[in-house]
Amino acid sequence: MGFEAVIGLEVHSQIKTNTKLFSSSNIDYGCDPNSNVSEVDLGLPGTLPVINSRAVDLAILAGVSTNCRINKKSTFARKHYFYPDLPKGYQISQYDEPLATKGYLDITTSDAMKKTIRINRVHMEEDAGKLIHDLSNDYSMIDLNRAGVPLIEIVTEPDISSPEEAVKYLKKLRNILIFGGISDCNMEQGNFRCDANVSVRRVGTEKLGTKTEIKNVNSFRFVQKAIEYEINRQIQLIEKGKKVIQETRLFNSKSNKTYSMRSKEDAHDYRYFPDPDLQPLILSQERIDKIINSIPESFEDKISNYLNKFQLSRDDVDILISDKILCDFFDSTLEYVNEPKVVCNWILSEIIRYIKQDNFKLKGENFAKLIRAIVTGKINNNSAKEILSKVIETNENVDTLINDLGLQQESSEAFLSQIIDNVIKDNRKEYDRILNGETKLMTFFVGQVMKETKGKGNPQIINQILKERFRID
Amino acid sequence: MSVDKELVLKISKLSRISIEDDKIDSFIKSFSEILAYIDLLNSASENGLKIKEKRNVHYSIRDDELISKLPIDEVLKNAPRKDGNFFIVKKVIEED
Repeated sequence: MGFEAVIGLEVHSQIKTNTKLFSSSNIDYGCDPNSNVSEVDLGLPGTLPVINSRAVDLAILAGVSTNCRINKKSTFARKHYFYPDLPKGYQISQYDEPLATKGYLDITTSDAMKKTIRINRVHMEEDAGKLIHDLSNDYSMIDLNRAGVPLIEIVTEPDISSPEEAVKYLKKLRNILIFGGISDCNMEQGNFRCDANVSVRRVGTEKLGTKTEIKNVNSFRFVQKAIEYEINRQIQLIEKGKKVIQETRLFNSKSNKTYSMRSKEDAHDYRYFPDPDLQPLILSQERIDKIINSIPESFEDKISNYLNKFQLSRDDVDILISDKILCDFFDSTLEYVNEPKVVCNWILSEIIRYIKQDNFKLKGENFAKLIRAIVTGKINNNSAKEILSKVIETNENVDTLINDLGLQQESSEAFLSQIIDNVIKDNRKEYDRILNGETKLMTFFVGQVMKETKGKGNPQIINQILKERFRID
Repeated sequence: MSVDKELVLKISKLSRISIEDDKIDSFIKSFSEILAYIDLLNSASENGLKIKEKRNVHYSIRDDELISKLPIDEVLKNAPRKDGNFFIVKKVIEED
């Protein structure tokens, strides 16, 4: 009898604010250690937390975007633990009255079926500081810049059955948060991290097995590997007649294994209680409605528009939506030129190579001029690539550049016919061979004509005239 | 909830506050009294009084703007041990 896995995920994602959740220190990444710290973050006596309004709005948006019910009353609680990453001795979180509850996200499973992953809750909490353990053998170093940074925690029900489904859910959630402007979800910077609760049970049984929690995995690949390893480890334990111990484990990306944190038995006794420093968060329906109405287009609608309205292929859409920066460039170009397929092709074949460079300056409006010049036959593809290479870093006006460089395509049939006749005259042997059926010599003639026109001949018209001359259909 | 020695020791451990053995009994007594008082509050009849939740609770909220933070030397001023811009503490990770 086989086993099945039961997986629930908790995602911590940093929301896009300028300042911390309960203090007004800024939260820029990569600053000097302990340079973004205030009295509140240090937990100095006499300080009081004051909640960041923007953080509340973004958390509501996250709740709405994951189909949750937004609770008009939610409360903050103190979660106590002793670890030097939070000087107060507790983390401010939400416990029995979270901001949003009872949502869901749909994923497509590997056999193309729709599966609903229920979301238990979305709540707000503050991040902890960073401890560096590997710079000294004797001590750990503490940087409190992250202490108090606003996070949302999104918790699923145990509805996930495989490592692949876990990754699909995470990718979808990440896209929703990025496209909703809620979080940058930059995994290297640790602002999208995942804890996985994993248990296994015999197929056909209802009772959940003992679960373990794998903490702080920060890449999709590692999530997959960590869950795969953990499922196999638990199955082997059970088959040997041993027991799975409920514990927290860490994933080591070098060995692809999970390790017990050997934490004390009562480490989970957080002694939550309502934070007396913070009033319950009361939200008006107007505020919630305002946020709901501010959502321009859901991530799902965006995909559906790309596929149906713009008729882009599934593969192309998958690449576009894999990166918000590509989507934004595509959308901004389409504001100026209604050629979705051509724009998409050029973005995926050319722009994609440059768009992440620091010196990328090209704007959608200007790129639209290039697309229009291509579509109307004003320039050919080679000239377009030449222009693109010049405007990527300058955003110089494409139309001006076409004129200045004299790259307008030569489309005059009379002019091109004259050149073609000269080329045929100079290449009698090849002409005879092509008439005898060696049609592959077409490219030779196209090449010769392009050479004569200094690359500016319109390839469609050249092809058409050549075919007439060679009597090819 | 009944308070016994075990519970007092557990709370002492969780809160990292050590209790001398001869004080345990007095803590059992204090904890029990506090809990009994809360039980008393919970058992009080509302006598038809409905506690209304204040609808327009005033709570402090702020805009997402940097107002103040501390210079690094102020941040580290009270640190028992430091190294450069870091606080340092006894190593707190178990190596695998």
